[in-house]
Amino acid sequence: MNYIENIFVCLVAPLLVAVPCSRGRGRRMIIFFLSGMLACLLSSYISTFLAAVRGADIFSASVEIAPFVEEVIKLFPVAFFLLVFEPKAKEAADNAIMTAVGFATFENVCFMVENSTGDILHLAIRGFSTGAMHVVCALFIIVAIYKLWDTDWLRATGFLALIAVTITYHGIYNILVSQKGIVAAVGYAVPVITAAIVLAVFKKRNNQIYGN
Amino acid sequence: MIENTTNIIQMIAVGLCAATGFWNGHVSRKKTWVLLGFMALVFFLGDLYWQLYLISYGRTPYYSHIPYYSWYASYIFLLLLIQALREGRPNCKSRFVLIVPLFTIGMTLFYMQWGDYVSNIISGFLMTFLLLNGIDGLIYVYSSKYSDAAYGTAGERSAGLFYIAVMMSCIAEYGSWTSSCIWTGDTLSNPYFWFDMLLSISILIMPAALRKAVGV
Repeated sequence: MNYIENIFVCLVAPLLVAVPCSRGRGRRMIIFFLSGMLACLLSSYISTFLAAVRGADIFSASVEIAPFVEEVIKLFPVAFFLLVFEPKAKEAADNAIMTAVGFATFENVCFMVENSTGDILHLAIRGFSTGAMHVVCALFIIVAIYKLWDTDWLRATGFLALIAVTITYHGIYNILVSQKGIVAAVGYAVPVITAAIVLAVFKKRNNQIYGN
Repeated sequence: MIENTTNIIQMIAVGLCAATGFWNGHVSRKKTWVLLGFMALVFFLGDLYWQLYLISYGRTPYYSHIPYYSWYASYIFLLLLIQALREGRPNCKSRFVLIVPLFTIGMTLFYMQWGDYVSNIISGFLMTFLLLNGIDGLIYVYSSKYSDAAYGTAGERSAGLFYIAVMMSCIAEYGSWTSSCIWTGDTLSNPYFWFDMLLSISILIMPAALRKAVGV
């Protein structure tokens, strides 16, 4: 049995020390990285609870319950920042990415603790793939922030719609990687390819967004 | 077998619609095309999840409604697309649209005998808005009363086919939901599959209809 809260404490301790020692954008990045890890911890608890309540087995929990819970919880830090601090779109986009990276990092650490660290190839594939999947989901949210932020009603409805996209995308990824052989390989490749396509197609716009 | 076939045909239809939407959106930089692309992409993701689950485990998703979230999201994108097409045009004043909420509330109550309450209420809300906008758009395009109206845009005046496609998709959705309540069986005698095909056709029509309305 894994005590993921113990792993969480161990991982966040240096980051918590770093928060008061840093300033400005760097501090905000650390805080959002931390909040991504916290979101992962909470998602784990809530998914386990819902699976137990609904009598779902481990597989059903991972492909049906976890995507919904994880994507919704992962959105909370960014939504809080957007609604309370009303930042510029660029800052909000960076923070969405950092939350996703924090989430994926903690998830990968828990996976390693549970499944040993012997197979570097599998760990590398999984690490890149899970990281890319969470970042792609964050990119969907960034689209909402940039493209649908002009009016209140568009903001609300567009955000809801894009959360649905991230939940389904995550669910498809979990179904594919839960299989064996070529199907799992396709599953691992999908987020990396999606991230590459999104970055290639929108590189010009991305440069405009980030002011490069 | 037939369910798999119709699902795959539908995935091809929405995939083509998504590709056309995003490509035309990329070329023209028009919001309407991007929204059509998102509408079809989300629908495609919902279909893909459903189909993968069916192939992998031989049953439909049970513990959550992940594909349904996608399909709801695609309705939301379709509503956003219609709003973008209308460009702030006020509603046509027609008593005919009053029939829509009566119909959708009735159907929602009917479906609640089988499905869960929350998802039926969400579907009912979204369908009400889609049907209201679809009928209003058709009245605006085809009624001579509004042909000389000062409000509205030239693009929307050419959107008759698009509104017909929207109405077709709503009819197909209601038809397939109702059939799945009454009929069972994986044969072509089940109207569910025919309504599913009608939905695929309506989605295939949308890019051509939108091209006619807003161009590329």
